[in-house]
Order: sequence, then structure tokens, then C-alpha cells
Amino acid sequence: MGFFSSLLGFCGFGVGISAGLVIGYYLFIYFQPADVKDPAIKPLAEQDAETLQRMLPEIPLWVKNPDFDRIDWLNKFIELMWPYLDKAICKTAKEVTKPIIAEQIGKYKIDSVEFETLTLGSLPPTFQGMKVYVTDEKELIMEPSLKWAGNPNVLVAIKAFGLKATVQVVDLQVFAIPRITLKPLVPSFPCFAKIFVSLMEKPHVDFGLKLLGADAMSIPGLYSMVQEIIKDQVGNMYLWPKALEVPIMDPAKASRRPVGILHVKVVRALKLKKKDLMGKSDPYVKLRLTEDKLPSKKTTVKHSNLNPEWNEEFNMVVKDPESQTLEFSVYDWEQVGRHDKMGMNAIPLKELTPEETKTMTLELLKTMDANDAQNEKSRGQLVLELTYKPFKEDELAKEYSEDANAVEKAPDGTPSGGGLLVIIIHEAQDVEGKHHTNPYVRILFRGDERKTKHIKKNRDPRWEEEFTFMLEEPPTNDKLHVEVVSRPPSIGIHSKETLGYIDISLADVVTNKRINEKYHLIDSKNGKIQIELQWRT
Amino acid sequence: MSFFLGLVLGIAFGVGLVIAFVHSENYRSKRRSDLAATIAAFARMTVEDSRKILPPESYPSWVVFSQRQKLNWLNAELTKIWPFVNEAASELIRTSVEPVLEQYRPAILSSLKFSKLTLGTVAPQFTGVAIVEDGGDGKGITMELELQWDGNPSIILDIRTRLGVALPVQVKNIAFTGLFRLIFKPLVAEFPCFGAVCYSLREKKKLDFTLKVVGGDISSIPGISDALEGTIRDAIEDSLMWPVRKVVPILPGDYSDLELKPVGTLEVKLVQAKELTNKDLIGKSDPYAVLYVRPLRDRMKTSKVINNQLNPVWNEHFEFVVEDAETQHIVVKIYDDEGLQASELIGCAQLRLKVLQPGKVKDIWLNLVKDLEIQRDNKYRGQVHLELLYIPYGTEKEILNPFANPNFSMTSLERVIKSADGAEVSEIDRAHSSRKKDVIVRGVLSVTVISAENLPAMDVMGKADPFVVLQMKKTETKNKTRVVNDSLNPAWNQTFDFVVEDGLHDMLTLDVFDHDTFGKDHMGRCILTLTRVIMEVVGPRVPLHEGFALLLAPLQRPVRQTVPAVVERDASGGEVQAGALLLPEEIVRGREVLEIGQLAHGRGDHPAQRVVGQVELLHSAQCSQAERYRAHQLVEAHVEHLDLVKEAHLLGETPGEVGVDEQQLLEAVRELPDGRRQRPPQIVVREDHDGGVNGGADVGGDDGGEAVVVDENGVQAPGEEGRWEGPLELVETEVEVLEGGEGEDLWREGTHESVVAEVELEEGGEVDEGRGEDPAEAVAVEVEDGEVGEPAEAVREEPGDVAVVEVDSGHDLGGGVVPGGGAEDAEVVTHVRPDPVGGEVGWVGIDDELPFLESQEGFGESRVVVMRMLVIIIIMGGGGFGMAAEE
Repeated sequence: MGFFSSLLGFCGFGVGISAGLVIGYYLFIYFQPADVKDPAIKPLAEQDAETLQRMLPEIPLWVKNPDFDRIDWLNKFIELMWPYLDKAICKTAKEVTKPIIAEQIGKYKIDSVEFETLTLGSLPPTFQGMKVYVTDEKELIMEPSLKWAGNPNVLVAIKAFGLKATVQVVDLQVFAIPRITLKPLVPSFPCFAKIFVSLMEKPHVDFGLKLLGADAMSIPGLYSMVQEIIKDQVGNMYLWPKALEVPIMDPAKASRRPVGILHVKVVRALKLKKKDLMGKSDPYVKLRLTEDKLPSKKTTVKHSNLNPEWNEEFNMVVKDPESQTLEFSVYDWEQVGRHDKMGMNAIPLKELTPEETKTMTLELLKTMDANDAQNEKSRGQLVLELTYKPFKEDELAKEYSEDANAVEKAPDGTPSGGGLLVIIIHEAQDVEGKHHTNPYVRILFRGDERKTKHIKKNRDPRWEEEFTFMLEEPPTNDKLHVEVVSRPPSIGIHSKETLGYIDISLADVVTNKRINEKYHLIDSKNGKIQIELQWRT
Repeated sequence: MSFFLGLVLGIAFGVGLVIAFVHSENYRSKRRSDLAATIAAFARMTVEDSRKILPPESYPSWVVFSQRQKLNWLNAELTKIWPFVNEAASELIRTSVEPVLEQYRPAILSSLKFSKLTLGTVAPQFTGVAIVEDGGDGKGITMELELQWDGNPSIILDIRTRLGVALPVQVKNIAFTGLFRLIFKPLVAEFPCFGAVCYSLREKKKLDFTLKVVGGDISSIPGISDALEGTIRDAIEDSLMWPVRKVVPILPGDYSDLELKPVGTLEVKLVQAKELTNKDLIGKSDPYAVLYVRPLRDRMKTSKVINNQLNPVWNEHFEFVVEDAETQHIVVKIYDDEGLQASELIGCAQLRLKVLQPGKVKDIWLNLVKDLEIQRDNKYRGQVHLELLYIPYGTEKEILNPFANPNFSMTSLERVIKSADGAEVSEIDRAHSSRKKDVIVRGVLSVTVISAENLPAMDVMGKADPFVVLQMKKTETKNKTRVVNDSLNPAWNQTFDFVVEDGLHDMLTLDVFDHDTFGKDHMGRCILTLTRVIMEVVGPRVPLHEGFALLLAPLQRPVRQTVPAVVERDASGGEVQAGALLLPEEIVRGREVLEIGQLAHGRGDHPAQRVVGQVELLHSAQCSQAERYRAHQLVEAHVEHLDLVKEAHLLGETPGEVGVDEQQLLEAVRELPDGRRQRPPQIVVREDHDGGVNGGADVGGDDGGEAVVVDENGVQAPGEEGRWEGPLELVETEVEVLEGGEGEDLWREGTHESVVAEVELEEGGEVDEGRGEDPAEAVAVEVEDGEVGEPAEAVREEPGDVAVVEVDSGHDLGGGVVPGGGAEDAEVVTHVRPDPVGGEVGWVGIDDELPFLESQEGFGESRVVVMRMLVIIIIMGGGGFGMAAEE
């Protein structure tokens, strides 16, 4: 009997708990409003001392550390922009998820999944400081301290089998110090090729996840578990030295390496206009690629000919077929005086198909201005044959994608046990001569002397020159003598001056393979020189 | 039973569980929102916050809340990336800057191109950034970025001159400091959340660069250096300087509303110039004027060349488009035409458009200076006379435009005719809007020359035999009055009619001559444009050419007004100005009304000046002044409880100076404070306590650096003088207890001098005078207890002079007369006698009821307008005459 009653009691308790949970759920959760309140932000000065004490741990990094710079202006900027950013981000998020959802719901027999509300809230992310690191490499490193304690409200309604369930994410909080590295730096806007983002510490993530209106994260233990999972996941992916890589531009393109060759055959010109008073014109053609510093190419001069045939071929190096244009102008040669321009035109290289020879007959124009009335007059025609041959991938010189820090392999034919010593003279700072400062660098290695170009009147010269020495064995006991010398001006009484020198022991290079450092120059006031040494085996 | 017990317990437990859960949920939620609030609060931390949070003993030294935040991190990165930017930007700059340079290219060059461009090794540094809270219209974000660049770029310009000489010019050592304004606008809900970026140079603090011809000296080709430097400056300043801005569209869309739009037209009538410096060795200069609002080649207007004349009269009309009336200037440059050689600059002047009231004609004399930016020299280069009218778009109809609107003085008869024929009206309106320049105002100008006063004696014996020659400039019709024999205050009362063909562009010149048996002597002249007469809006004075003041006032206005002392802040070319006798309706923004009996001056003559004058409880005979002569000066004067003979002066006389002085309750009666300036950049405030019983003070500087103090011999000979002969001197003299027959003079002979004289307790027959004989002088005279018949005068004979006269308790004829001889004159008069005395006060009026006007029919595009007005003009001063004009 006792057993039966206690069994009944247990049953009653079980039913009661379920009923109680259901009653409680409806009383305290279901009918509570689901919207998120905007936290009231009071200026700190209005807080009492106790509250301030509690807030103190969150004090921004730029206040705590002198090496973090204050960027509250950026906070202000984001704050003003935030309402719009919020909408833009949410719009993009909806657009991105839409096809994914559409694909997924079919699989799971869900009627619909849609965002009931999607907003990032009124609080923008804030940056509590910015720190930069200056290294000798071609890279920019910055570490903003990001704290986003927002009040987003993402409410997803899932409908399946005639039922509706909601999942709501509120109060997302992310604190992280990402390290943003821009590298390599390239001489073309925006001046860097890739962005690497990695996290220096595991980020702090907190949020409220409401399933059917109840915050699942409030279940004891669950929150810390979820947080650990997130931290580990993110950590595995992006924790330094792992990084998220965002390519901005193709470094090969940015560095303006040749990517192909343009064969131009100037065939003939037709119906050129007479320019000379006596006799006919003496035409020749000048060819030039835009954005190219090379001198233009010229055909021979065909004397007294208004329909000249040249049939001359030229090869031109193409660096960017998308933007470069072949310009050609026909000139009238003169024995004395300026050569008259008889007409011109241009062909954008993107009009050409690679590996295909195209014969073009082009009208000669007075100017390249499309609206110029003077262009209506006929000035003759020019016939060209053009072929664009891009280099094969393997023809392209070394791949840039490989990390600049990695030391390349020595070329074939290097004796075993030996290797290639590469010395890159980057730049110097604060070198100053008594009478003149036209510095160049002289390198002495095992009696071998090499010199860089000299740079005129510059106290902070940049050479960026590379020297290689093929060696039979590692230069463990050798020293490299580097000397900055100023070349005297060509006219003048002063002789050359030494601006400073440094002896570098090469033992470290052999063990480290690569060293990129600034050295203080001896016999110089403040002079420094940046030298990169590589030992390739 | 136990089931139910279990059930109840279960429910209780279940509900309890949920409550506990909700509680924990709420707790977590509250913690999160607290944290969010904390983070947000820290993001907008202010000084007070940090002071409150951080104890003072451990307050970090690096926590600085500056107006503009430092960008050290960005500078570090920029330095690093600069070599790459240099390489990448060179081509970009070349393609984007070349067209801009072309726009500002001076005529002397035929081409201007970059042949080499490197930005050098020194990266610009951002010295500060701030987000500007611009009232929060929510439409955009304004960011201000302070940039400093002491770069070593090498820019080689390939220059071809008209003469066919090509030369490479190197621009190097650029030093630039400026404040850029970036506006992100409009904000949209699409990445990157702003439609376009506008950038503009908000403030240029410094721009220096060196020009060098590669392999030669730039001075080998005269004029090139200046032209080139001017071009580069113009290109940078005018293409970037706020309000001009560049708009970079980020998202596709129409951003034309962000571009600088014309907001109005500025109509400028270049009337005349006078006393120009002679630049020619033989003969006189051949002046012409160049006027512009923006120095774009196609928007600069050039006047005719007037040969061999230092007082040229152009009478030319120009129109300019105004983009931002708040910040733009009208610039006048007067050159001497040298034929084949490059023209030589005589002087230039500028006026902020801000000072113009829309729709109101401003008649102004501007002093010419050498350089608009560097106002170092005070040499007098002459003055130029302009009439300016600014009309914002959209208000043309409301504003009476004398230059364009022909409807202003339509008679009632005409109105009736027009309204009867509606079609005609619209036609006229259309004609008006489309061809407003074709409007010609024609009519009959009727001028009555009434009288002149105080003409200078010209004859050896006796006085003078004056007569007036009236001449219309365009039609060259001349009229003469009769000769009044032997009088310095002649009355003619003669009326002349002129047929005016083009009222807007015509002028009336009045010359007073002394009739001699043989020939005639010129006694003075004034020039009147008809603008005011046509407009019916007439100010209190009209400038005359050679130091006469002309009082004009509309007839229909009440003659007697309580005229308060008014301090006027007037922006004009660097002159000294004081208050002006203003009619109440002219007391406008920028002018303060002081109470009667108090005299205070706050003057700002130049843009960027600010003067604050505050005077309390001045007793009679006390005077405090704050004067400003040059731009950028700031003076604040505050004087309390001054007793007799005590004065406080605040002076700053050179740019950049600030003088603040407060002097309270000087004790002994006979102490005289002197303030002297001996060298231009000095400020001296001095109190002199050992004046002694008979002490007077004579303060003089005869030459740069000298000061002379002479003790006088007591009350019987109280004449005293303060003389300045060098520029920028200041003299203040104070004389007390003058008795009968005593007078005192204060003279100034150099430019920019200032004299303050104070005279008390004048008795019958005494006259005080403060004279300034040179431009830019200031004279303040104060006279009390004047009795019948005693006039007090402050006389100014040159434009730019200022006179301040105060007369207390004047009886019948005792009055204060304040003439100002030039356009820039300004006077403060308090206690003007209660009733105007015939002939002493004049006004100009228009009275529709006067019967004797007729209308004429126009032809073609021109219209005939019938004007009726009566002009009575009284001139006083060193010489003058009166006239009445009627049109």
C-alpha cells in the first residue's frame, strides 16, 4: 500500500512537474514580451561610485596602456553610421541565407524558415584602442581592441508540420583583439595585396539563445560548454598564427610583372595626307604602350610615300592587358625642324584575344578626343597585325603567393653542402656626409666587391637591391663588410666620403636561413641600415 | 491522495524550477545589458568621466582628451607604407591633377604638364581627427582631418610659355598644413553605407613651396615665377578650399546636390578708384581692375584700362556667380597696364560677401593693400569704390534690384496700365527674366543744387566765388550753376534737368570751382551713381570724392529720430572704423546700440577681427575705446567706474597682437596715463604718475622709436599735441580744464594712427577739434556743456577717417556735427540736438506726390521708368556744397 501510494505520489509528482513546467512556461515565459529593450546608457560621470567600481574592469585599453592609441573618433563614426550599417548588414544576411534556406528546407520537410526580426540593435561595436607594430618587413600590423556588446535581436521562425517554433538570439557580445596584417605591400593602390586577420587570444563570446521564448543559455552548465566550443572552434580556425586570409588584389599584377608579349606588325598605311610643301610626306610610325616607361618604338621612314608599306614587326612587353593601351602615331619625317604628326589612334589591349592574330585597319585621328570635330576629316588609315601572347603560368617568374618570409630554394646547380647567400640592401636612415650625401652601398665579401646605385641628396635612401654569392660551403666564419659611401657631385672639389660601415657575422644567417634587421652604422651619428640576409640551400 | 500530494508538489516544483530558470535568465540578461551599457559608455568617455573613474594620483599621463584625436598609429603605418603609396600615387596624381592645373593656367603659359612626379620620402602626418557634430541632421557624417606635410617631393613641371620657351620647373620642399573636411553623405542602408564622399580643404594654415628651374634660374624669365606660383596656389586653394568641394561617388546615384551650387548673383559696379600709387616713371599709371569671386580664368572680369590716371572712373558693371555667401570674397585687384610687359599690381582689396545684406546695395570704399593674406605693410595705395548687391537665387522677386528690376518705381498710373493689360505684364516679366541685362532705365533726372558749406577759401583776398559744374558721365551733358561771389557757404538753389538714357550705368559728377577772372580753381568734387536715387533706398551718407560727406536721407522717413550711439562692425579693407550715425531701421546685425551718454567702440574692420567693447558706468568725459586696425587682432576692454581723467585703453596694433588692459580707479586727478607706441609691434600701456600740477602730457614719436614727453606750463597754456609720423603709432592725450579760447589739436600725419582727445568743461566760444589728415586715422573728441553757438567738430578730411563726437547739453545751435569725408567714414554722435537746423541736416527723399514728372514710352527691350524723387543734399566739412536732385 505504502509502495502504491508512493508510486502514485511519484506519478503525481511527475505529472505535477510537467504540468508545473507547462504552467510556469506559459506564465513566466511564453506571455512575456520577446522584444529586446535598448539598454539605457548613462554617461559615466552620472554613475555612483559603486557602479563605477564595478565598471572599472571594462576600462578601455587605451586608458590602461600607453601603447594603445585612442580611436574614439572611429567609435563616433561607427555610431553615426550604425543605423545604416545595421540595415545593410541585415539585408545582406537575409540575401545570403535565403538560397541556403531554400535548399535546406526541402531536405528536412520544413515549410518555411524566415527571419521574423533581424536587427543588430542600437549599440555599435566599439574599439577600445589601436596598437600598431612596426617591423622591418613589408607589412603593416595593427591590433584594434574590439568590443561589441550589442543588443541584436535575431528571431527565426521555423514552420513545420503546421507548428511554429522560434529561435531567438539576443544580446550578442563579442570581445576580441584581432591582429590585422596587411601584406605584402605593393606599389599599386591600395598598396597591399592581402589582409590577414588572426586572433591573439580566444575571444569572449556571450549571447542569449531563446528557444520557444526561453533562454537556453541560462541552463546551468550549458553556457560555459557552448562558450568553450565556440572558443575552441574559432581558436582552431583563427587563433594566431592561424589567420583568415582576405585577398585584395593579385600581388603579381600589383607588382607589375610582365604577363605577356604583344607582337605588333605594322603592315602599311593608306591614303595619308600630304604634309610637305614639296613632294609627298615621309611617314613613319611610333608605337607605345600606355603606363610603360620604355621609349616608344619607331618604324623606318618611307620617303615620299603616301601609301607606305613597312611590314615591320615589334615585340612589346605587356604588364596589364586589362588597362594598357597600344598607342600609335604616324609622323612625317623632316630633315630639319619638328616632325609633323599626321594622325594617331589607340587600341585597348583588352580588345584582343590571346594567342590570336588580328589584322586591324584603323582610321587616323587628329586627337583621341572622341568629340573633336577635327577628327571628322579623313587623315588616312593604318593597317596593323596584332597578337597578344600571355606567358604560360609556369613561365611567370616566381609565385608571389608564397610567404615572403619563406626562404626560397637555391637554384639548381648549387653544390651540395654549399648554397646561395643573398644580400638585400633595403634602406638606410639618417646617413649624412659632411659635404655631400649621395649615398650608395659597397659590400665586401671574401674580397668580392659589389655596389648599389647611388641616390642623390638623400639622407634616407632606399635601394632595394639584391646581391647573390654562390658558395661552396656555409659562410659560418665569414664576415660581411657593408659600407655606405657618398659619391661626390661630378663637379666639385670634395672626394668621396664614408658615411658609416658595419661588419656582420654570417654565422647567424646560416642557422636562421633568413635575417632582416636594422643595423646601427659605425662611424655615423644616427645612421642605420636595413639589410636582409638569406642563406639558400 | 498521495497522487494529488505528488501532483501539487510536482506542480510547485515545476513552477519553482521555471521561476528559478527565469530568474537566472533575467540575471544573465541583466548582466549582459549592463555590460553593453558599460562598453557603450566607455566608448564615449569624456574628460569628466575619466577624472571621476581614475584617481588623480594614478591618472595616466597619456590620457589626453584633445579636441582632435591623435592618429599616431595611422601615422606610423603611413610612414611605413609611404614608399609604396608614392609609387602607386604618382601616376594617379598626374592624371587627376593635370586637368585642374590646366583650368587655372595663367595666360602667359601655353601648356603646363607634369613630366616627373614623386612624392618624396616623407609621409604626411595626420595631426588630428574629429567627427563634427553638425546639428545632427542625420543625413551625413562630417569628419575633420588635420594634415601636416613637410615633404620633399620632386615635381617637375613641363612649362611652355607663349613665347615658345619650354622649361622644366621643379616644385620642391612643399610645406603644407591644413584641415580637411570629409563629408560622408548621404547615408544609405547599403554597403558601404554612404553614397558619396565630399572632401574639401576647410582651412589652409600654411602652404609653402620652392620653385626652381632645372638648370637655370626662374627669374631669368620675368613674370613666370609669379604666374606659376599664383597658378599653383590658385589651383590648390580654389579647387579645394571650402566651400568648393570634390565629390567622390561611391555608390551609383545622383549626387548633384552635394556639389557646390550657385546660390546667388553678385552684382558689382566698379565705380572708381582714387589716389592710386603711381607705378609709371613717366606720366601716371594706366590702371585697370580685375575682379573675381573665384580665381578661375573664365570667371575673372577685367575692366577697361584708363590711361594716365591715378583717380580713374570706370563705372563698369559686372556680375558674378556666388556659391557660398558665407565664406566667399569678392576680390578687386588693380593693375597698371604696361603694354607689352606684364602688368604691375597697384593694389588689391577684398570684401567678404557675408557683410552684404541680400538685396541691399552696399556702397563701399575699399583700401588697397599689397597682399590679401599678408598684411604687413600699411602703405596707402589708394582706394577703390564699389557698389555691391548680392541677390540670392529665389529671392529676386522680393528684392528690389536696381540693376535689374525695372518695376521698382512704377507710378500708380503705370501700374494701372499694366494690370489692365495682363498679357503685357507677363510678356514684360518674361522679357525681364530672360534679358534682364537689356533693361534700360530711362528718365529725367532733376538735380537741385541748394548750397554748400565751409568751402575752403581759395582767393587771396576774401573767400571764394564758387560755382558747381554738373556733368552726366555717359551723355556728357554739362550744366553750371551761377557764381556766388565771395562766399564760403554759398546757396544756389538752382535746378537742372538731365535726360538719362541709361540710369543704371550713368553717373553724375559734381565739381565745385572757384570762379576767378582768369580761369577757375578746382575746389572739390563728388561722384554720384544713380543707383541710390533710382532705388529709393538711400543711406544716410553718400561718399564724395575729395573728402566731403554727403548726407542723404529719404524724405518720407521721419526726420527726427532719436539717434542712439551705434557701434558698427563693418568689414572693409583694413580701415579703422567706428560707429555710424544710423537711422533706426538700419541698425542691424553686427551693430550694437549703446545708451546715450556712453561711448563705446567696438570695431572690427576686417574679417576675422573681433572686438568686444564693454563699458560700464562711464561718467562724463570718460571714454574707453578698443580699436582694431588690422585683422586678427582681438581686444577686449572692460572699464569700470572711471572717474575724471581716467582712461583705459586697449590697443593692439599689429596683427596677432592682443592687448587686454584693465585700469581701475586711478586716483590723483592730475595723473595722466599715456600709452605710446614706438615701434610697430609694441603695445604700451603706461601710467604716468608724475605729471605734477601743471603737467600736461605731450606724447610724440617723431621717428620710429622716439618718444617725446614735454611738460607744459600749467593751465594757461594747455594746448598739447601728440604727433605721430610713423605708421602704427598711437597717441593719446588728455587735457583738462580748458578755459576760454583754448583749443587743442591732435594731429596725425601717418597712416593707421589713432588719436584720442578728450576735452572737458569747454566754455563759450571754444572749439575743439580733432583732425586726422590722413586716411585711417581715428579721432575722438568729446565735448561737454557746450553752450549756445558753440559747435564742436570732429573733422575728417580723408576717407577712412573716423570721428567721434559727443556733445552734451547742447542748446539751440550747439550741436554735434560729424562729417565723414569718405565712404569708409563712420561717426558716432550722441546727443544730437533735438531739432534739425535748416541746412544742416539733409536727406534724400522720394515723394510720389510731387506733381512734375512725366512718363515716356520705351522702345525695344528697354523700358521707361518714371522716377520721382527729391534729393536734398547737404555737405559739410572742409568744403562742400549742397544740392537737391530730382528725377
